[in-house]
Formats: sequence, structure tokens, C-alpha cells
Amino acid sequence: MGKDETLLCIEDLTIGFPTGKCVKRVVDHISLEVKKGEILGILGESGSGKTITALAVMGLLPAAARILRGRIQYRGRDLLTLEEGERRRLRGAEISMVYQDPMASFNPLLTVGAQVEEMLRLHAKHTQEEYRALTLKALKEVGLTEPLEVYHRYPHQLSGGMRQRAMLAMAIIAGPKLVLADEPTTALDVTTQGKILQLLRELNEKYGMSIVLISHDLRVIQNTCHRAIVMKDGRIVEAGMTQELFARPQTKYTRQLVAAAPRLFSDGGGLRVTCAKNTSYKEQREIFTIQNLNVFYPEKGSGLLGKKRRKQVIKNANISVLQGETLGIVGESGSGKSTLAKAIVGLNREIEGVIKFNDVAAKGKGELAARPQMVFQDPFGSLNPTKKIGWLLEEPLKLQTNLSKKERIARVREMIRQVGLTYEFLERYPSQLSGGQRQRAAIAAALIVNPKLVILDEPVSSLDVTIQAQILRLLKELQDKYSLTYLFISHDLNVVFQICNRVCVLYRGEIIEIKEAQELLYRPQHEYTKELLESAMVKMGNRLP
Amino acid sequence: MQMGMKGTVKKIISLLMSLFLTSILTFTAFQVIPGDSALIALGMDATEEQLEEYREEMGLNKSLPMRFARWLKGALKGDFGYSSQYQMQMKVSTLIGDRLTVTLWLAALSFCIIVLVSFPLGILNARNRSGTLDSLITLVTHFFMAVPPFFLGMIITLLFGIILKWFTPGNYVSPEEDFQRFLRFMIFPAIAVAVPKIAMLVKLLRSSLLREMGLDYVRTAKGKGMTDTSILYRHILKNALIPVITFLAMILADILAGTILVEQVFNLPGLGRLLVSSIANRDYAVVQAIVLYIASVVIVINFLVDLLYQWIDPRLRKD
Repeated sequence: MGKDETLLCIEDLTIGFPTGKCVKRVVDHISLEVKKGEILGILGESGSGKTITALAVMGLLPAAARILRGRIQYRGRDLLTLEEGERRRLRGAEISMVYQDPMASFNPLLTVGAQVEEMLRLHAKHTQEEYRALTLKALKEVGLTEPLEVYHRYPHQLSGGMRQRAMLAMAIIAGPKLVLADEPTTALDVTTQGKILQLLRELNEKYGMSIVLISHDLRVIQNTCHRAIVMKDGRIVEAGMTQELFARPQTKYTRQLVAAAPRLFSDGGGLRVTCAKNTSYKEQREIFTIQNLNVFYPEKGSGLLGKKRRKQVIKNANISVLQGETLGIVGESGSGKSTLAKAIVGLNREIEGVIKFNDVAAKGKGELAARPQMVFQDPFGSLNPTKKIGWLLEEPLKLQTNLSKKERIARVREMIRQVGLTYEFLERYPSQLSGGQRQRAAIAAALIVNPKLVILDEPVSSLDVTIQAQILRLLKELQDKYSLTYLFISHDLNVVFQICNRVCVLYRGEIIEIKEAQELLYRPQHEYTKELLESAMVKMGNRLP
Repeated sequence: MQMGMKGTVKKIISLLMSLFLTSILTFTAFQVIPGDSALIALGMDATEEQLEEYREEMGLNKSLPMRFARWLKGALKGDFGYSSQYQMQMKVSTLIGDRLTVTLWLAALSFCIIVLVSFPLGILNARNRSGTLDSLITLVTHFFMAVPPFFLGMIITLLFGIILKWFTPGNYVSPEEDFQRFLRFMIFPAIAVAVPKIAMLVKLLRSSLLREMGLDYVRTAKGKGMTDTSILYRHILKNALIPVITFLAMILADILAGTILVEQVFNLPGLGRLLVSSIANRDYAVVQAIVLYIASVVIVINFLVDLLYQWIDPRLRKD
């Protein structure tokens, strides 16, 4: 078997979803090859057809999808004409897949060990003890340091990173020659992301396993893959060796992607920070302060007799925010970012300490317009799907102001223009909007009551990079126009450094560092901050100077 | 696992407390109802002395908590006093005991039929999604969902009793008399009780299975190279059961409380009919006992379902 052997060969593949009379093509005349031992990256934004392509290779397309033409060959056998039984034997043993959302992709009722072991049982004959030993070995292989404990745990009892590792163990345990990894790091913290990608590279080197890495994140592809393909709207836009491809992109779209990718470092190895340079806020007064804030989560006591307990999530936080500035709050998931945000907007009442807006303690209702508004991470879940956008924008006005119907409508119309949408969007339901449009609507809903302080909880993390850039630009414009103050919560350092003046690092509920963005980037004090910065850089293929 | 034990003990304690609260409520409710229980027991012709003597004897002159303690003590031993509709000649416990046997058998039989018929049908239905069989089963279930059990009872009596002569309508045989004939008779009311519930359960199971089939973990299982059948039994079924269990518990509580209409149609001496006649005759001792029984059944079933859930779904276990 030569090094150049072609494992997978897709020729002219076209997949569509029939809707009524016409067929919506999601994969359009795709041809690609995966060689033995190589890592091929497929880069594309959501809806570009990359996941569907992978599912087609696995034979796991949704029931509604139709393969309209083309061939998928695996080591010379045409998968599409293969008998179902034959094909089943290939799944897992020859070609396996790491799925996008490991939480949903594991059966919640079975232990992780049982599910990983099941893969082995389907493709290899061993004794009971051997199955178990091999499963434990695979769990260890993917960097789970206590395989026996993980074996007996249920999916919900593992952290996101551990679940992703277990998913990887399941994918490799039967010794496949080709692994399709669909956004394997998207839901993870930067520190964990780097480690998982490292693991993929190691597995590739150690076993010569071919990997198709699917991602929307240019940096992930750039750092991991030998060769890459850029997809857009179901077509291949550009393909080539990774270094070459992104250093000298030939098409407009790839150039756009490269430009939109947030970056900390330029190619020359020097630092190029796009931190917000707006320094005028420094002369401004404090709009908002937190003093010695402790936030708790009530834990429900069990049974009738259970005592009420509460768990401390935020420990002794002190923050003051000046008018017009953007303060970033970074930290990995579970560090208490969202809890802090909820406490500030008043969604969590289990707090001790002082939260002040314009020097007025936030007890009781206070000055309504001064109350902060919030933009949530998931615009899908946070907009009521049964109401039209116009209604959703008007509602806060009904609740918080005494404006007449006519005035309210005028205000809604003004706001929808401000966030870059047209009047016709007022008549649409959230489900009829794209992710970026929905987030624009959510921003409009937050700004419509003229708040001074807006809390943005991961406002761009569910969006594609090109859309991310647009939304960040919009936020900046709105900030200048209305002299808004932002609290910007994110796990993505690259986004944070693009928009924030100051950054506060949250680690296990404590603020370990809070300083000017540039200062933090150049001279991080705390070990954790250094680790956080480093993993963001490693992910981009750079090393610390 | 130790925490699990602790949780179970806590649950048992709260179960006992709810049962105790239920007994208080049941007792007090009947004290609030106007009417003199001595007069009801002895009838309108009783003299003042007889009434007073009765009150003294039954402890009716004592304070409310004293009377409750006395009642509860009796209830725990299964002694609820005497039934007034049988002129105080019949013990409430014997009366209910006889009727309970009938109701329990009916409940057990119909519950078995429900589970044994609806599970295979539901699975068959879901596996043949949008096939002819699926549409046929859906059509039939829709029809039977709309048929009330007593009407079905009448049809069954007509078809199996009068036309086919598989049983003699109205001729109930008690289990002590002839157990085989008792069972042969009971199977028909059990079917009448079961059919509408089967129709609902098949529909619920089908939609629950179909929902689970669309989830990501099923795709994962398929990606492992499993066959559809083993995916169904190893992965999907247990997940799909979660909503079904709640419904099964509701059904069980419902039929354990007595099925008055079906009992009436088949002339069964069940709990439902006893309850109705006791209410009509103001036989409060019996009504009180039946109400306590029904409430306890519901509480205990909920408790068991709770335990069952924790056993099935690890996410509900606290640790």
C-alpha cells in the first residue's frame, strides 16, 4: 500500500433536498480526494454543504436528502451502489465520524464506556475482558487520564472536552482508515480546542489515519491540515495545500474569509492588535460599578426535607465601568461569565454585595432606562418564535415606556434601520431570518429602550466569521452613535481583542486580572491568562515569541 | 451510589408524610360535611337515648384529634367500622375487600392487555412510518380513541356474549366459586377498559419513537454500523419510554380507582359501583375508606414512577 494511495474519491457529487416541485441543491458538483495518511480540511460557513458531504460518505444523510448524481468511491468501491449490509460493515470499521455535538450524539441513558465498547463489539471478536481492556486503552489514548472513571460515567457527567475525547475514542477504537471530524472543536474552550486538534494530529501521525477535518474556523484548518478545500453554497471555491492556499488566496471569497478571520498576530511574527483605540472614554465618569459581589446559585434540596443550599459561583467581584467603554469578560465555560451577566441585569437575585448604576444602587426598580439590556448568545432561543420581529421590538416599549402606539411604531422603525435591516423584516418571524439577521434583531430589541449599558453575552459566537465581522462593526457603530457602554462576554479572545478597551479575566468565579486590552496581551500577569493567550495563539499556528 | 440510597430514603419519608397528610384531609373533609352520623347510622326513628348511646360508644363526643387518632388507628389495621347502608351489619373492610378483589383483577388484566398489545403495535407503527400498515394502525387507533369504554362494553357483550356465546352476559362468577370461569368472564370487561387506552398509548409510543429516531445519537449508532433493529432495541426504546411511563402510571391509577361504567355494563361488583351506591346512601364510612384508598394508590404509583425514572434516566439521579 503506497503512501499515495487514494482512500476516498468523490466525483461530481450533487445532493439536494426536494421541496415541492424544485430541488434545493446543498452540495453541487463536488469532487475531491483524500489520500492515505493525509489531513484534508474542508472550510466553509454554515450552509456550505460540508456536513452533508461527510454524512453522504457515511451513508447517514437525512431521509429527505437525495443524491442526484455523482460517485463516492472508497478504495475503489462505489459506496453508493454498495449493498446496505456491506456498507454497514464499513461504517465504524473503515470510515468513522466524529460528530458535531457530542452531547446530543451520545445516548444519554447509556454509560460512555458501554457506547465506546459497542463500536468495538460490532466490528471485532474478543472476550468480555478484552473488550473492556481495549476500550479503556482507547479512552486513555485520547488523553482521558482516568479511563476507568470515564468508562462508568454517563455523557452528561463529563465536561465538553472529555465528551469530545470520548467521541474521538469511539471513532478510532475499531481502527478505521478514515475519520471524518465534523467541527470537533467548535463547542469547546480555546484551551481545550488546541489540545483536541493536537490529539488529531498525533493520531494521524501515529496510525497514518486519514482525517477529513470540517470546520468553519479558518485557524483550525490552517493549523491542522495538510490540504484544504474552501466550500461555499455547496460548491468548492478553491482547493490547495494549506499554507499556499491561505497565504495567496486566488478567489475573492477565500480572500474575504482570510480577511474576516480575527487575528492577534500578523504573519511577520510581530503583534498586530486591533484593540479599540477609542480612548475618549477615559475622561468619562463611571456608569456602573460592582463592589464585593458574590453570586450564588440555589441548589434545590432533595425531597420534602432537603435543606436549601446554594453554590457560590462568583466570588468577591469588583468591577467599575466607564461610560462609553467596552469591557471584555473572558474565561472558559463554567468560569461564571454568564452568571455574572445575569446578576447584573437582575435575572439572578441570589446576590450579596453592591451593584450600582450611575451611583444608584440597583435595589428595587430604579431608573428604568438606566437598567442594562442584554443580548444573548443564541438568538434562536432568545426570540419568541411565535411572534413577529415587529411585535418583539415593540414589547419592551409597551412594558417600560408610556409611548403611544404611533410613537412606538416610529421608534421600532427607526431601530430596525439602525441595525441594518429593512422594514419588511418587521413582518417576519424569527425562524425566517438568518443567524446574522436574528442577532441584529436581538440587538435592536435590546437597544430600543435606550439603555446606557448593554451586556453582550457571546453575541457572535454562533455566527460565521464573515457575519461575525459585520455584527462587530455594527456594535461599534451603534456604540459611537448612542455613546453606549458594553460589557462584552466571550470565550473567543480574538473577538475580544478586536472590540474591547479593557479586558477582565474570570477564572473559577474570581476576577484574576482586569486591565487595558493591550496591557493584558503584552504583559499577562496570571498563569491562567498566559495559558489562555497561548492556546489562542497555538490554535493559529503561531508560538509565543 | 450511597447518595442514591440516601435519596431513596428521603423519598420514602416524604411518601409516608404525604400519605399521612392525605389521611388527615380525608378524615377532616367528612367531618365538615353537615349531618349527624349517629342519625345516619341508626335511622330517623332512633330515640334520643339510642343516639346518645351510639355517640358515646363510637366516641363521637370526643374531640376531633382524638377521633382522628382513633380512625387512623383503625384504618392502619384495615378497620373502618361498619357500613350504614347494610344496617351496620357489614364491616366496611369486608365490603371493600370483596369489591377490591374484582377491581384489582380487572386492573391487572386490562393493564397486561394494554402493555402487551400497544408496545408491539407502537413499535410496528413507528418502524413502518408512512407505510400502509402505519396509516391503517393510525386510522384504527383514531377510531378506538373516540369510543367510550362502556359503549365498547355493550358491543363486546353483544358480539361475544349474545352472538358468539363465549360468556353469559351479566353472569358474574366470584373467584372463590370458580376461578377459571371468573377469569373467562373478566377478560371481556378488561378488553373494554383496555381498548381506548391502547389506542392512546400506541399513538403516544409511535410519536415518541419517531421523535427519538430523528435524534443525533441514533445517527451515531447507525454510523457505528449497527442494524436498524438493534438500534431500536438497544438505543431508542429506553429513551422513548420516558414520556410513555408517565402515561402508563396515569392509566394504572385510573383503572385501580374503579371503572364504574364498565362495571355497570358487565354487572361486576367492583369498587366503582360501591363508591357510587355509598355516596347515594350517605354511607360515609365506606366513602371515606374508598377515597383514602384512591388517594393512596395515586401517591404510591407516583412514588414508584419516580423511582423508575431514576433507574432509567441517569440524568435524574442526584450525585
